[in-house]
Amino acid sequence: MKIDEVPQEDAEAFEKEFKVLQYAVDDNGRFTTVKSVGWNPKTVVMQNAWDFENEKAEIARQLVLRGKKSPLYYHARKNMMNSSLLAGYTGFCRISVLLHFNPKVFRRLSQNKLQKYAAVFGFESVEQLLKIDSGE
Amino acid sequence: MKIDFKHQMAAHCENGVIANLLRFYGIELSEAMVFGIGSGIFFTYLPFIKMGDAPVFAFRPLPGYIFNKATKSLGVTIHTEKFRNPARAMESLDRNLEKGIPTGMVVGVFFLPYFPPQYRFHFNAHNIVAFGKEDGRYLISDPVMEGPETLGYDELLKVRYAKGIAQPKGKMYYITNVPDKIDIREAILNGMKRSVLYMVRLPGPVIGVTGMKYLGTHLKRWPEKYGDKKAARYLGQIVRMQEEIGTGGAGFRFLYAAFLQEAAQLLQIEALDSLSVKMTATGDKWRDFAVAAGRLCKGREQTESYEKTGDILIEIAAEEKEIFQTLGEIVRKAKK
Repeated sequence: MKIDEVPQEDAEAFEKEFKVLQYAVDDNGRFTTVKSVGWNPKTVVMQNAWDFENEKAEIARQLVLRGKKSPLYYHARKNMMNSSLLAGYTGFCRISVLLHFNPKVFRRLSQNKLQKYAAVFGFESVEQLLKIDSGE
Repeated sequence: MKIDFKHQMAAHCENGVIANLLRFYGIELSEAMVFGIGSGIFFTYLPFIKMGDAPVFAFRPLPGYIFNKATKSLGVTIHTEKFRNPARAMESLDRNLEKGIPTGMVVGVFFLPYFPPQYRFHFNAHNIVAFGKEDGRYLISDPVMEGPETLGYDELLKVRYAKGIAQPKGKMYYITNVPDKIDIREAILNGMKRSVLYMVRLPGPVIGVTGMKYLGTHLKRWPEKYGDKKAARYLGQIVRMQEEIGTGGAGFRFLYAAFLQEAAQLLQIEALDSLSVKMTATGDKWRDFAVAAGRLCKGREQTESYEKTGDILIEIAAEEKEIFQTLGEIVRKAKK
Protein backbone atom coordinates (compact mmCIF):
# COMPACT_ATOMS: atom_id res chain seq x y z
CA MET A 1 0.00 0.00 0.00
CA LYS A 2 1.36 3.42 -0.99
CA ILE A 3 0.77 6.53 1.07
CA ASP A 4 -1.75 7.94 -1.38
CA GLU A 5 -3.59 4.61 -1.40
CA VAL A 6 -4.36 4.77 2.32
CA PRO A 7 -8.15 5.00 2.33
CA GLN A 8 -9.87 8.04 3.79
CA GLU A 9 -13.50 6.99 3.38
CA ASP A 10 -16.74 7.01 5.34
CA ALA A 11 -15.59 9.50 7.95
CA GLU A 12 -19.19 10.06 9.07
CA ALA A 13 -20.26 6.42 9.12
CA PHE A 14 -20.31 6.31 12.93
CA GLU A 15 -21.25 8.91 15.49
CA LYS A 16 -17.66 9.53 16.54
CA GLU A 17 -14.92 9.97 14.00
CA PHE A 18 -11.86 7.93 14.82
CA LYS A 19 -8.49 7.68 13.12
CA VAL A 20 -6.34 4.57 13.12
CA LEU A 21 -2.68 4.31 12.24
CA GLN A 22 -1.85 2.52 9.00
CA TYR A 23 1.51 1.48 7.61
CA ALA A 24 2.24 2.43 4.01
CA VAL A 25 5.28 2.89 1.76
CA ASP A 26 6.42 6.29 0.52
CA ASP A 27 7.88 7.11 -2.91
CA ASN A 28 11.28 5.71 -1.94
CA GLY A 29 9.78 2.43 -0.81
CA ARG A 30 10.31 3.18 2.88
CA PHE A 31 7.57 2.38 5.37
CA THR A 32 5.92 5.16 7.28
CA THR A 33 2.68 5.67 9.18
CA VAL A 34 -0.42 7.46 7.95
CA LYS A 35 -3.61 8.15 9.87
CA SER A 36 -6.68 6.74 8.18
CA VAL A 37 -10.17 7.96 8.92
CA GLY A 38 -11.93 4.90 7.56
CA TRP A 39 -12.29 2.41 4.75
CA ASN A 40 -15.47 1.33 3.04
CA PRO A 41 -15.13 -2.49 3.35
CA LYS A 42 -14.28 -2.02 7.02
CA THR A 43 -17.34 0.18 7.54
CA VAL A 44 -19.51 -2.45 5.88
CA VAL A 45 -18.33 -5.31 8.07
CA MET A 46 -18.48 -3.23 11.24
CA GLN A 47 -21.99 -2.10 10.37
CA ASN A 48 -22.83 -5.73 9.71
CA ALA A 49 -21.61 -6.75 13.16
CA TRP A 50 -23.61 -3.95 14.81
CA ASP A 51 -26.73 -4.85 12.84
CA PHE A 52 -26.42 -8.36 14.21
CA GLU A 53 -26.23 -7.04 17.78
CA ASN A 54 -29.07 -4.57 17.24
CA GLU A 55 -31.21 -7.33 15.82
CA LYS A 56 -30.74 -9.33 19.00
CA ALA A 57 -31.67 -6.29 21.07
CA GLU A 58 -34.78 -5.76 18.95
CA ILE A 59 -35.91 -9.36 19.44
CA ALA A 60 -35.40 -8.88 23.17
CA ARG A 61 -37.46 -5.67 23.04
CA GLN A 62 -40.35 -7.49 21.40
CA LEU A 63 -40.21 -10.22 24.04
CA VAL A 64 -40.38 -7.61 26.80
CA LEU A 65 -43.31 -5.84 25.12
CA ARG A 66 -45.17 -9.15 24.95
CA GLY A 67 -44.52 -9.70 28.65
CA LYS A 68 -42.32 -12.75 28.13
CA LYS A 69 -39.15 -11.23 29.54
CA SER A 70 -38.27 -8.52 32.05
CA PRO A 71 -36.84 -5.14 30.98
CA LEU A 72 -33.54 -6.33 32.46
CA TYR A 73 -33.31 -8.85 29.63
CA TYR A 74 -33.56 -6.08 27.05
CA HIS A 75 -30.90 -3.94 28.73
CA ALA A 76 -28.58 -6.93 28.98
CA ARG A 77 -28.94 -7.69 25.26
CA LYS A 78 -28.56 -4.03 24.39
CA ASN A 79 -25.22 -4.04 26.22
CA MET A 80 -24.28 -7.30 24.50
CA MET A 81 -24.28 -9.16 27.79
CA ASN A 82 -25.44 -12.66 28.54
CA SER A 83 -26.42 -14.01 31.94
CA SER A 84 -22.92 -15.01 32.97
CA LEU A 85 -21.37 -11.67 32.03
CA LEU A 86 -24.10 -9.85 33.92
CA ALA A 87 -23.57 -12.20 36.86
CA GLY A 88 -19.88 -11.30 36.78
CA TYR A 89 -20.56 -7.58 36.94
CA THR A 90 -23.24 -7.72 39.64
CA GLY A 91 -21.86 -10.52 41.79
CA PHE A 92 -25.17 -12.40 41.67
CA CYS A 93 -25.05 -16.02 40.64
CA ARG A 94 -25.96 -16.83 37.07
CA ILE A 95 -29.09 -18.77 37.98
CA SER A 96 -30.55 -15.77 39.79
CA VAL A 97 -29.75 -13.49 36.86
CA LEU A 98 -31.64 -15.92 34.62
CA LEU A 99 -34.53 -15.82 37.08
CA HIS A 100 -34.49 -12.02 37.03
CA PHE A 101 -35.05 -12.17 33.27
CA ASN A 102 -38.49 -13.49 34.19
CA PRO A 103 -40.93 -10.53 34.54
CA LYS A 104 -42.74 -12.00 37.53
CA VAL A 105 -39.54 -12.44 39.51
CA PHE A 106 -38.16 -9.11 38.32
CA ARG A 107 -41.23 -7.24 39.62
CA ARG A 108 -40.54 -8.42 43.15
CA LEU A 109 -36.83 -7.50 43.18
CA SER A 110 -35.61 -5.33 46.05
CA GLN A 111 -34.51 -1.76 45.44
CA ASN A 112 -31.00 -2.79 46.42
CA LYS A 113 -30.68 -5.37 43.67
CA LEU A 114 -32.23 -3.10 41.09
CA GLN A 115 -29.68 -0.47 42.07
CA LYS A 116 -26.88 -2.93 41.37
CA TYR A 117 -28.18 -3.66 37.90
CA ALA A 118 -28.68 0.03 37.18
CA ALA A 119 -25.07 0.70 38.17
CA VAL A 120 -23.75 -1.91 35.71
CA PHE A 121 -25.54 -0.25 32.80
CA GLY A 122 -24.46 3.19 33.98
CA PHE A 123 -28.01 4.36 34.73
CA GLU A 124 -28.43 7.17 37.21
CA SER A 125 -31.75 5.94 38.56
CA VAL A 126 -33.58 2.66 38.85
CA GLU A 127 -36.40 4.16 36.80
CA GLN A 128 -34.31 3.85 33.64
CA LEU A 129 -33.87 0.14 34.27
CA LEU A 130 -37.63 -0.40 34.45
CA LYS A 131 -38.24 1.30 31.11
CA ILE A 132 -37.25 0.06 27.67
CA ASP A 133 -36.57 2.20 24.64
CA SER A 134 -39.49 2.63 22.28
CA GLY A 135 -38.44 1.37 18.87
CA GLU A 136 -37.68 3.73 16.02
CA MET B 1 1.95 14.11 40.00
CA LYS B 2 2.88 13.61 36.43
CA ILE B 3 5.66 11.41 35.08
CA ASP B 4 7.54 12.74 32.09
CA PHE B 5 6.23 10.07 29.74
CA LYS B 6 6.05 10.53 26.00
CA HIS B 7 2.83 9.29 24.44
CA GLN B 8 3.16 8.05 20.91
CA MET B 9 0.33 6.74 18.81
CA ALA B 10 0.68 3.20 17.50
CA ALA B 11 -1.34 0.85 15.34
CA HIS B 12 -1.60 -1.87 17.94
CA CYS B 13 -2.07 -1.44 21.68
CA GLU B 14 0.33 -4.14 22.84
CA ASN B 15 3.28 -3.11 20.64
CA GLY B 16 2.55 0.51 21.34
CA VAL B 17 2.64 0.09 25.11
CA ILE B 18 5.91 -1.85 24.98
CA ALA B 19 7.53 0.68 22.65
CA ASN B 20 6.36 3.60 24.82
CA LEU B 21 7.52 1.96 28.06
CA LEU B 22 10.90 1.01 26.59
CA ARG B 23 11.39 4.55 25.30
CA PHE B 24 10.87 5.86 28.83
CA TYR B 25 13.81 3.71 29.93
CA GLY B 26 15.99 4.86 27.06
CA ILE B 27 15.53 2.01 24.60
CA GLU B 28 14.43 3.56 21.33
CA LEU B 29 12.62 0.92 19.27
CA SER B 30 9.88 1.41 16.71
CA GLU B 31 6.51 -0.29 16.97
CA ALA B 32 7.33 -2.49 13.99
CA MET B 33 10.59 -3.58 15.64
CA VAL B 34 8.81 -4.56 18.85
CA PHE B 35 6.21 -6.43 16.81
CA GLY B 36 8.87 -8.38 14.91
CA ILE B 37 11.00 -9.19 17.96
CA GLY B 38 7.87 -10.31 19.80
CA SER B 39 6.91 -12.56 16.82
CA GLY B 40 3.55 -10.89 16.45
CA ILE B 41 2.70 -12.20 13.00
CA PHE B 42 0.38 -15.14 13.13
CA PHE B 43 -2.67 -16.75 11.66
CA THR B 44 -5.15 -19.25 12.92
CA TYR B 45 -8.62 -20.42 12.00
CA LEU B 46 -10.49 -22.48 14.56
CA PRO B 47 -13.83 -23.50 13.04
CA PHE B 48 -14.80 -25.65 16.02
CA ILE B 49 -14.52 -22.87 18.61
CA LYS B 50 -17.20 -20.21 18.44
CA MET B 51 -16.58 -16.86 20.06
CA GLY B 52 -19.25 -14.20 19.88
CA ASP B 53 -21.31 -16.39 17.54
CA ALA B 54 -18.54 -16.78 14.96
CA PRO B 55 -15.57 -19.11 14.55
CA VAL B 56 -12.23 -17.86 15.84
CA PHE B 57 -9.98 -16.11 13.33
CA ALA B 58 -6.80 -14.58 14.64
CA PHE B 59 -4.05 -12.59 13.01
CA ARG B 60 -2.04 -12.41 16.21
CA PRO B 61 -0.98 -14.77 18.98
CA LEU B 62 -2.74 -14.73 22.34
CA PRO B 63 -2.77 -11.35 24.10
CA GLY B 64 0.37 -10.91 26.16
CA TYR B 65 2.48 -13.14 23.91
CA ILE B 66 4.16 -10.33 21.98
CA PHE B 67 4.78 -8.57 25.27
CA ASN B 68 6.43 -11.56 26.91
CA LYS B 69 8.56 -12.55 23.96
CA ALA B 70 9.72 -9.03 23.15
CA THR B 71 10.75 -8.15 26.71
CA LYS B 72 12.41 -11.51 27.28
CA SER B 73 14.41 -11.32 24.04
CA LEU B 74 15.63 -7.86 24.94
CA GLY B 75 16.56 -8.95 28.46
CA VAL B 76 14.22 -6.42 30.07
CA THR B 77 12.80 -7.48 33.43
CA ILE B 78 9.09 -6.94 33.94
CA HIS B 79 7.10 -7.21 37.11
CA THR B 80 3.52 -8.41 36.59
CA GLU B 81 0.83 -8.48 39.24
CA LYS B 82 -2.83 -9.41 39.54
CA PHE B 83 -5.05 -8.52 42.47
CA ARG B 84 -8.05 -10.21 43.96
CA ASN B 85 -9.02 -7.04 45.78
CA PRO B 86 -9.83 -4.07 43.46
CA ALA B 87 -9.06 -1.45 46.12
CA ARG B 88 -5.59 -2.91 46.60
CA ALA B 89 -5.03 -2.94 42.86
CA MET B 90 -5.68 0.81 42.77
CA GLU B 91 -3.52 1.47 45.84
CA SER B 92 -0.69 -0.42 44.26
CA LEU B 93 -1.03 1.66 41.10
CA ASP B 94 -1.00 4.88 43.16
CA ARG B 95 2.16 3.81 44.95
CA ASN B 96 3.83 3.06 41.62
CA LEU B 97 2.90 6.42 40.20
CA GLU B 98 4.24 8.16 43.30
CA LYS B 99 7.55 6.39 42.78
CA GLY B 100 7.57 7.68 39.21
CA ILE B 101 7.08 4.34 37.47
CA PRO B 102 4.83 4.42 34.40
CA THR B 103 2.60 1.39 34.80
CA GLY B 104 0.94 -0.70 32.12
CA MET B 105 -2.47 -2.24 32.66
CA VAL B 106 -4.72 -4.69 30.90
CA VAL B 107 -8.29 -3.43 30.62
CA GLY B 108 -11.61 -4.22 28.96
CA VAL B 109 -12.77 -1.76 26.31
CA PHE B 110 -16.54 -2.00 26.73
CA PHE B 111 -16.72 0.52 29.58
CA LEU B 112 -13.75 2.63 28.49
CA PRO B 113 -15.33 6.12 28.30
CA TYR B 114 -13.01 7.77 25.76
CA PHE B 115 -13.10 4.82 23.36
CA PRO B 116 -15.20 5.41 20.22
CA PRO B 117 -18.60 3.70 20.62
CA GLN B 118 -18.34 1.81 17.34
CA TYR B 119 -15.36 -0.18 18.68
CA ARG B 120 -16.81 -0.96 22.09
CA PHE B 121 -17.32 -4.69 22.29
CA HIS B 122 -16.62 -6.92 25.29
CA PHE B 123 -12.93 -7.23 24.52
CA ASN B 124 -10.74 -7.67 27.57
CA ALA B 125 -7.14 -7.51 26.38
CA HIS B 126 -6.55 -3.85 25.71
CA ASN B 127 -3.33 -2.30 27.04
CA ILE B 128 -2.90 1.17 28.46
CA VAL B 129 -0.26 2.98 30.53
CA ALA B 130 -0.96 5.21 33.52
CA PHE B 131 1.66 7.93 33.89
CA GLY B 132 0.30 10.23 36.55
CA LYS B 133 -2.59 11.42 38.67
CA GLU B 134 -3.90 14.97 38.63
CA ASP B 135 -6.96 16.21 40.56
CA GLY B 136 -7.96 12.65 41.29
CA ARG B 137 -7.94 11.66 37.63
CA TYR B 138 -5.43 9.23 36.18
CA LEU B 139 -3.42 10.33 33.15
CA ILE B 140 -3.62 7.56 30.60
CA SER B 141 -1.54 6.91 27.52
CA ASP B 142 -3.55 4.67 25.24
CA PRO B 143 -1.45 3.90 22.14
CA VAL B 144 -4.42 3.73 19.78
CA MET B 145 -5.55 7.26 20.72
CA GLU B 146 -3.98 10.34 19.19
CA GLY B 147 -3.24 12.03 22.51
CA PRO B 148 -3.19 11.24 26.24
CA GLU B 149 -6.54 10.72 27.97
CA THR B 150 -7.74 10.80 31.57
CA LEU B 151 -9.83 8.37 33.63
CA GLY B 152 -11.51 8.78 37.02
CA TYR B 153 -10.94 6.33 39.87
CA ASP B 154 -14.23 4.49 39.38
CA GLU B 155 -13.92 4.39 35.62
CA LEU B 156 -10.44 2.89 35.77
CA LEU B 157 -11.50 0.39 38.41
CA LYS B 158 -14.42 -0.77 36.28
CA VAL B 159 -12.32 -1.39 33.17
CA ARG B 160 -9.53 -3.06 35.16
CA TYR B 161 -12.11 -5.46 36.54
CA ALA B 162 -13.97 -6.09 33.30
CA LYS B 163 -15.79 -9.43 33.27
CA GLY B 164 -16.29 -12.08 30.66
CA ILE B 165 -13.71 -14.01 28.64
CA ALA B 166 -10.07 -13.51 29.71
CA GLN B 167 -10.75 -11.22 32.67
CA PRO B 168 -7.85 -8.85 33.33
CA LYS B 169 -8.34 -9.09 37.14
CA GLY B 170 -6.57 -5.79 37.68
CA LYS B 171 -3.43 -6.97 35.91
CA MET B 172 -0.65 -4.40 35.89
CA TYR B 173 2.99 -4.52 34.84
CA TYR B 174 6.05 -2.33 34.89
CA ILE B 175 9.71 -2.49 33.93
CA THR B 176 12.02 -3.12 36.87
CA ASN B 177 15.36 -3.54 35.17
CA VAL B 178 16.86 -2.66 31.83
CA PRO B 179 20.15 -4.24 30.67
CA ASP B 180 23.09 -1.95 29.86
CA LYS B 181 23.61 -3.45 26.46
CA ILE B 182 21.05 -5.07 24.20
CA ASP B 183 21.92 -7.69 21.63
CA ILE B 184 19.46 -6.44 19.05
CA ARG B 185 20.75 -8.73 16.31
CA GLU B 186 20.11 -11.86 18.36
CA ALA B 187 16.67 -10.58 19.43
CA ILE B 188 15.62 -9.89 15.84
CA LEU B 189 16.83 -13.24 14.53
CA ASN B 190 15.13 -15.14 17.34
CA GLY B 191 11.91 -13.25 16.73
CA MET B 192 12.04 -14.15 13.05
CA LYS B 193 12.82 -17.77 13.85
CA ARG B 194 9.76 -18.07 16.06
CA SER B 195 7.55 -16.48 13.39
CA VAL B 196 8.86 -18.94 10.79
CA LEU B 197 7.97 -21.74 13.18
CA TYR B 198 4.40 -20.52 13.60
CA MET B 199 3.76 -19.62 10.00
CA VAL B 200 5.20 -22.59 8.13
CA ARG B 201 6.75 -25.20 10.40
CA LEU B 202 4.01 -26.19 12.83
CA PRO B 203 2.06 -29.30 11.81
CA GLY B 204 -1.73 -29.36 11.72
CA PRO B 205 -4.25 -27.63 9.50
CA VAL B 206 -5.22 -24.62 11.59
CA ILE B 207 -2.11 -22.55 12.29
CA GLY B 208 -0.05 -20.43 9.90
CA VAL B 209 -0.22 -20.68 6.12
CA THR B 210 -1.97 -24.06 6.24
CA GLY B 211 -4.66 -22.37 8.30
CA MET B 212 -5.12 -19.74 5.57
CA LYS B 213 -5.39 -22.41 2.92
CA TYR B 214 -7.84 -24.35 5.06
CA LEU B 215 -9.95 -21.24 5.56
CA GLY B 216 -9.81 -20.53 1.81
CA THR B 217 -11.21 -23.93 0.91
CA HIS B 218 -13.63 -24.04 3.80
CA LEU B 219 -15.01 -20.61 3.01
CA LYS B 220 -16.25 -21.68 -0.42
CA ARG B 221 -18.70 -24.07 1.23
CA TRP B 222 -20.03 -21.56 3.74
CA PRO B 223 -23.10 -20.33 1.81
CA GLU B 224 -24.53 -23.83 1.46
CA LYS B 225 -23.41 -24.88 4.92
CA TYR B 226 -24.55 -21.88 6.95
CA GLY B 227 -26.84 -19.93 4.63
CA ASP B 228 -26.09 -16.55 3.07
CA LYS B 229 -26.65 -14.43 6.13
CA LYS B 230 -24.43 -16.38 8.47
CA ALA B 231 -21.75 -16.83 5.82
CA ALA B 232 -21.66 -13.09 5.26
CA ARG B 233 -21.35 -12.47 8.99
CA TYR B 234 -18.47 -14.94 9.34
CA LEU B 235 -16.73 -13.32 6.39
CA GLY B 236 -17.26 -9.96 8.03
CA GLN B 237 -15.68 -11.30 11.19
CA ILE B 238 -12.47 -12.16 9.31
CA VAL B 239 -12.27 -8.68 7.86
CA ARG B 240 -12.92 -7.15 11.26
CA MET B 241 -10.05 -9.11 12.76
CA GLN B 242 -7.93 -8.08 9.79
CA GLU B 243 -8.72 -4.38 9.58
CA GLU B 244 -10.36 -3.19 12.75
CA ILE B 245 -8.39 -1.12 15.18
CA GLY B 246 -4.79 -2.01 15.69
CA THR B 247 -3.45 -4.07 12.82
CA GLY B 248 -1.82 -1.28 10.85
CA GLY B 249 -3.63 -2.60 7.79
CA ALA B 250 -3.96 -6.04 6.16
CA GLY B 251 -3.86 -8.08 9.37
CA PHE B 252 -0.40 -6.94 10.51
CA ARG B 253 1.19 -7.74 7.14
CA PHE B 254 2.28 -4.14 6.52
CA LEU B 255 3.57 -3.87 10.06
CA TYR B 256 5.68 -6.98 9.53
CA ALA B 257 6.92 -5.71 6.18
CA ALA B 258 8.00 -2.52 7.96
CA PHE B 259 9.86 -4.67 10.49
CA LEU B 260 11.63 -6.63 7.73
CA GLN B 261 12.69 -3.39 6.11
CA GLU B 262 14.10 -2.01 9.34
CA ALA B 263 15.82 -5.31 10.10
CA ALA B 264 17.43 -5.32 6.65
CA GLN B 265 19.14 -2.06 7.49
CA LEU B 266 20.14 -3.00 11.02
CA LEU B 267 21.51 -6.43 10.16
CA GLN B 268 22.85 -5.43 6.73
CA ILE B 269 21.05 -8.28 5.00
CA GLU B 270 19.77 -7.17 1.62
CA ALA B 271 17.59 -10.23 1.05
CA LEU B 272 15.29 -9.01 3.81
CA ASP B 273 14.54 -5.89 1.81
CA SER B 274 13.13 -7.87 -1.09
CA LEU B 275 11.16 -10.02 1.35
CA SER B 276 9.66 -6.84 2.74
CA VAL B 277 8.52 -5.88 -0.75
CA LYS B 278 6.94 -9.32 -1.20
CA MET B 279 5.23 -9.08 2.17
CA THR B 280 3.78 -5.70 1.17
CA ALA B 281 2.42 -7.34 -1.98
CA THR B 282 0.63 -10.06 0.01
CA GLY B 283 -0.67 -7.33 2.29
CA ASP B 284 -2.22 -5.70 -0.75
CA LYS B 285 -3.83 -9.03 -1.60
CA TRP B 286 -5.31 -9.21 1.90
CA ARG B 287 -6.82 -5.81 1.16
CA ASP B 288 -8.28 -7.21 -2.08
CA PHE B 289 -9.74 -10.01 -0.03
CA ALA B 290 -11.32 -7.46 2.33
CA VAL B 291 -12.85 -5.60 -0.61
CA ALA B 292 -14.35 -8.83 -1.99
CA ALA B 293 -15.61 -9.84 1.45
CA GLY B 294 -17.09 -6.38 2.00
CA ARG B 295 -19.04 -6.70 -1.24
CA LEU B 296 -20.35 -10.12 -0.28
CA CYS B 297 -21.33 -8.74 3.13
CA LYS B 298 -23.36 -6.04 1.45
CA GLY B 299 -25.09 -8.76 -0.52
CA ARG B 300 -24.18 -7.22 -3.84
CA GLU B 301 -22.89 -10.35 -5.46
CA GLN B 302 -24.19 -13.87 -5.96
CA THR B 303 -22.92 -16.77 -3.88
CA GLU B 304 -20.56 -18.04 -6.58
CA SER B 305 -18.04 -15.33 -5.82
CA TYR B 306 -17.36 -17.04 -2.50
CA GLU B 307 -15.30 -19.26 -4.80
CA LYS B 308 -13.19 -16.34 -5.95
CA THR B 309 -12.84 -14.93 -2.44
CA GLY B 310 -11.62 -18.28 -1.19
CA ASP B 311 -9.14 -18.47 -4.05
CA ILE B 312 -7.57 -15.17 -3.00
CA LEU B 313 -6.80 -16.68 0.39
CA ILE B 314 -5.32 -19.82 -1.11
CA GLU B 315 -3.11 -17.66 -3.29
CA ILE B 316 -1.99 -15.60 -0.29
CA ALA B 317 -1.22 -18.79 1.63
CA ALA B 318 1.09 -20.00 -1.15
CA GLU B 319 2.90 -16.65 -1.30
CA GLU B 320 3.35 -16.33 2.43
CA LYS B 321 4.62 -19.88 2.59
CA GLU B 322 7.38 -18.95 0.19
CA ILE B 323 8.17 -15.75 2.11
CA PHE B 324 8.53 -17.46 5.45
CA GLN B 325 10.52 -20.35 4.04
CA THR B 326 12.98 -17.87 2.56
CA LEU B 327 13.02 -16.02 5.86
CA GLY B 328 13.86 -19.29 7.61
CA GLU B 329 16.86 -19.79 5.33
CA ILE B 330 18.05 -16.23 5.84
CA VAL B 331 17.88 -16.64 9.62
CA ARG B 332 19.76 -19.94 9.45
CA LYS B 333 22.54 -18.38 7.39
CA ALA B 334 22.76 -15.30 9.57
CA LYS B 335 22.98 -17.34 12.76
CA LYS B 336 26.07 -19.26 11.61
